[in-house]
Amino acid sequence: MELLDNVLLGLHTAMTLQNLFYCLLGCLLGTLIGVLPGVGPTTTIALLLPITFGLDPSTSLIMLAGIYYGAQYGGSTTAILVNLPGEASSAVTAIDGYKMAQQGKAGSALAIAAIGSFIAGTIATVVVVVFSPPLSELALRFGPPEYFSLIVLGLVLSVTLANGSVLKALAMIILGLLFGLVGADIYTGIPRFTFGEPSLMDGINFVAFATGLYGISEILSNLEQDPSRKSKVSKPKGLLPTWTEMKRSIGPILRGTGLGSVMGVLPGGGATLSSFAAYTLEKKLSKHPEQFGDGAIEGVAGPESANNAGAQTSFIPMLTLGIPGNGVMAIMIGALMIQGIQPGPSVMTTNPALFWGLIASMWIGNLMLLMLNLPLVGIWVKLLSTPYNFMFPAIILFSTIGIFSTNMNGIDLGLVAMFGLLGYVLIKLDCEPAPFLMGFILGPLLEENLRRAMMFSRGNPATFVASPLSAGLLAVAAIALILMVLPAVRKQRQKVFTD
Amino acid sequence: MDTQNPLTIPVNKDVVAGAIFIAFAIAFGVVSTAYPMGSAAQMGPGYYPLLLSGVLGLLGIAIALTGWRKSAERMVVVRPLALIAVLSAPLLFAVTLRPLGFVPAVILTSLLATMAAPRMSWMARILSALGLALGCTAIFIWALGIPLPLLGSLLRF
Repeated sequence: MELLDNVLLGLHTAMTLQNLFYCLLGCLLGTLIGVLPGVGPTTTIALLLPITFGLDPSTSLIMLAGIYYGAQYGGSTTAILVNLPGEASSAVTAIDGYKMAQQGKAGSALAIAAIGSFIAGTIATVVVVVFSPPLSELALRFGPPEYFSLIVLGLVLSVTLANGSVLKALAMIILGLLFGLVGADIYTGIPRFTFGEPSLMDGINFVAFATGLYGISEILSNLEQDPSRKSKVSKPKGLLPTWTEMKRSIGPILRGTGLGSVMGVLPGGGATLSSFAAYTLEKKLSKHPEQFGDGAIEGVAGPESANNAGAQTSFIPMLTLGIPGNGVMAIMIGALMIQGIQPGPSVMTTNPALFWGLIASMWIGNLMLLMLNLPLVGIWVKLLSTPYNFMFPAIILFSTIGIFSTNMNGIDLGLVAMFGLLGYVLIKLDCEPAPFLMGFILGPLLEENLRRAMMFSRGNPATFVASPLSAGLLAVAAIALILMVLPAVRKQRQKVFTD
Repeated sequence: MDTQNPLTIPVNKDVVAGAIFIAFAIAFGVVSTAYPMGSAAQMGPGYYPLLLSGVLGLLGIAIALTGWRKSAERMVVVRPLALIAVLSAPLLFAVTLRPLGFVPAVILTSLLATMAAPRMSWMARILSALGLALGCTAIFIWALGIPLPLLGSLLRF
């Protein structure tokens, strides 16, 4: 059984004392930062990225994955206890979770979120194990035109992540592609857009870019209001859900898992849309839809499971194709490249221990979260009561020192400030950062495959529709784009985001 | 200065966003023309960026046009003082690290960062700076072993 061998290899890698330790540390730190109000998973990972650089590639990726799950769990804790979701994916949890907390049932909501996440994580890990090998085998047969079309599709679908205007999201992608070009040209070595600065030859420091865009701009948004106000935290009374609550939750957990597993694989889908979809589904199926929005446990169980399953399966396109499905995966790709690993279908064959070790640690990380977080809820509650006045200088300093320590270069700190300002201004103008980040990450890859394909075809653009696979991918991208600008779909999309 | 209520300014979001995209398109486009263009079959370093700049410019114009007829709406923005404090904090760290060393740089940077909080007492600012100096030294220098001098060349006698 090849599959079994792979899983064993993965467990073997993930179960070394060192990797277990960093998985645990990642989960803890991820929760710690993710719990802070207004700090979502993408920001958390961007902020914590520098501390993983000293580790070897598999350990570093395992720790990052731990940070991701931790951040997501921390985000839902904040959503439930203070109604301040850090990222869109936990916004749905806040609707009924916070209501439950106000009714004194915060413990049940948190426990169901943890149990649901664990069940979803376990099932979704199996999905990753089963579907990754065939997909990466298929991707190994991709030539430059297919890869180009696949990236275009990924970018177009990332527009669905943004909830504002399609035009703005497209412009953000192109702007990201342009910023991704800074550095030495891949074929001629001519420096582009570096203004003679030698440290820009390798491109803009990815951590500086992501931290500025997410971390700094978020601090600026939070400072719009007087930051000395304290957030109101509802203290959980008991921690264990009742038997009826468990019985009511099991259906939503399983349905959420299925929905999340499927939507997570789609580029652009990821965790956010699946939690919205799960909430809508549970509300439709429920015999008491009027309870939704008023503390229905199904409204916590479904979306939380869906977003965890989606988070897990969104690793599939990242690991097998090298195409990130969301902002978090874009950061993961950046981290892999910093470790000297080119993400793509060959990772599984050239680095099997890393690949399967990561997958095994996903499950271990979920188990750790389940065991750790419920007993630690008291600490998170305390942390949530810290005034923002003391929190934001700490976040600024940690990220400043973290970024500086990656290259020991002051230019990177200038870039943080620059992208912080740019990110803040663009977000204020309803231009969302996720497509910008995706463009930045995929820019070099898109150019490389475009130029290579055009070279092989001697300048004939028909090469992109000559292969059926490439033509199919482009057709899907075109249809998606047309659907998004159609008025009917646009209204539906708005409804999903405002519901 | 009224620090209780958030600051609002009138902005036509689409027009401003469009203008920003157009400005970036022009900047990237102009710089690209300095690089060899090549042909579609042998693209030079300037070909693809120029192409992207063109598309970005068109999108920018389209976005600006959609907002042309709309009127400006009032939008909550961050105070200028907070904006400057937050954005210049990393720069202050970059500038002070070598001459003054890690600990003074952390203290100065966090004092600057707390300027973004209008109603924080000086005592709280100083306590937060000292706490961060201790915490950052423990995490980054002692635990992670980053090779930075605690005190810089200017402060060593």
